[in-house]
Amino acid sequence: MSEKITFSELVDLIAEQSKQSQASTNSFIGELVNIIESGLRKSGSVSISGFGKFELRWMNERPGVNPQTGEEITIPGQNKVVFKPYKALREDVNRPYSKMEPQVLDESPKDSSDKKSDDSLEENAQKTVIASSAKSSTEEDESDDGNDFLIERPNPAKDKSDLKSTNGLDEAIKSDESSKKEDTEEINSIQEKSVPIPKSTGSEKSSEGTDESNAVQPKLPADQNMPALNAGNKAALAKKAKDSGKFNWTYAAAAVIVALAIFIIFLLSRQYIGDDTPQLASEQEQITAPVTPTPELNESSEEVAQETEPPPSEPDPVPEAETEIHTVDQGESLWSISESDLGNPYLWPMIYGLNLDQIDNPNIIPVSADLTVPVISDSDNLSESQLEQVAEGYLAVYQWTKTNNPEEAKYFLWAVGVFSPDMLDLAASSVDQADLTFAKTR
Amino acid sequence: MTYRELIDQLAESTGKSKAQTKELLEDAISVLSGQLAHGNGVSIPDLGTFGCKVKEVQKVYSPHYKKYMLVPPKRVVEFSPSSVLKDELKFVGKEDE
Repeated sequence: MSEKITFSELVDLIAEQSKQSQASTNSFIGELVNIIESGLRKSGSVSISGFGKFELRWMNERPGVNPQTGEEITIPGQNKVVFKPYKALREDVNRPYSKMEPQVLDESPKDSSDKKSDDSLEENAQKTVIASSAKSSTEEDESDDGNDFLIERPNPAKDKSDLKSTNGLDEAIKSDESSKKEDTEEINSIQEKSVPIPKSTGSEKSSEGTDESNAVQPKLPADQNMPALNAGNKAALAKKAKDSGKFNWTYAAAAVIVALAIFIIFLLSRQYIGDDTPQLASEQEQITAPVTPTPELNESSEEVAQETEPPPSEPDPVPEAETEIHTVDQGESLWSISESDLGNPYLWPMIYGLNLDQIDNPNIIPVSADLTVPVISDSDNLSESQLEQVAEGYLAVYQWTKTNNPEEAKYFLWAVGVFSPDMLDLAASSVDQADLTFAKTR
Repeated sequence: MTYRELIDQLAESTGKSKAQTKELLEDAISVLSGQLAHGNGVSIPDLGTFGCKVKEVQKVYSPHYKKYMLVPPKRVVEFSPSSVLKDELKFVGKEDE
């Protein structure tokens, strides 16, 4: 398959490169050949750095056959000249194929099929794409592990800016869902792609299989299966496609089910909050209106109801008149209860703070415990007292974290400041000063 | 024979300076390597033929993975000595037998 250039062309190129005459280059190369030969004769090896090594190797006497007469003769022991290219030359020459790597086949020693490089590369690419998308779906699945006590803890280090707004949370949920849907769509479309390709290679194989099986390929270990190649080919490829197909379909199905489940839960939780809203709005107005010292007439009545100034020097939080009892089910967490009952999972410290008698570690809540849960009509706009409650809750969480996981504690102190800077100041004397410095940064 | 020895002997027989023969040799080698990298073979009289061959994809059994593997194709340099060289060196070192 190699193309050749003539020796004189080579001489021309060398002469050009070295700025010598053709005649002198010619004689130079002639001398070089002589030197190589004499070097081999004397020491059996000539090495040219950056190029390769010429070596003499001894071949023992061995029996052979005269190709013309067919009679047996012995081939005498003799030297043979061998050239071994060095790394630089090997790499230069192999550059077109340098990126390729060996590919492991999922075949038992029975199946055999010759694959051309293009097809195998394609399949390799398909496999890596499928593997990576399957991996991403498993990563998503792993986060939904069920335990007896669900340990889900919001990491305040992430998404600090989203603490107050439910809108941000809604968007986050929506984007999660859509990305999950995209993943499953990806998997589905890749699935469709990968199945037809092996089939097409299968049909390709059968026509080429005959040619290749006739050609001499003595190095293949599956020599004895050669005659069965054509028949075995299609079966092997089809089986392989099915095997890899099965693998992917389960992941795709699992991802779809998880996405659906989350979507349904989300809808349900929305429904639940929606029922309570109209009832509470009027009650909240009655409670908070008399507390407002300076009614701001320019703003809407809705905002008046919720934007209240705190009564002077009242560090004790005024608990919401409306609370309810929530019995903890298996698989629930403060985060999930806060999300479903309060409308914003980031408000979970409210529940924690109200139930310190029942809960110690906020990550572990006992199943079938009856927790006092505040009732919040509008989680986007919390009343002053509600904000204080949240801040108090975060302070309690901070205290617990300080004793159990001191490195993480400062984030909760920071969260206290998000909901109620006044609370932060009040607590200043009883907290670690380093944490306080961090908590005051914005 | 090392590279240095090669240069020395070559300089001596061509009558050129060592520095010059080194340069010439390097030029020659680089041109030859370049041609091989392009896929062109060349025959050098009395030495042999340098050729560039593509080794096809091969199915091999890997005892480590206990599976068949596809070795990717690669392009290699092949050298076949000329008969002159072969004859000269066939029985070197065995001449006393």
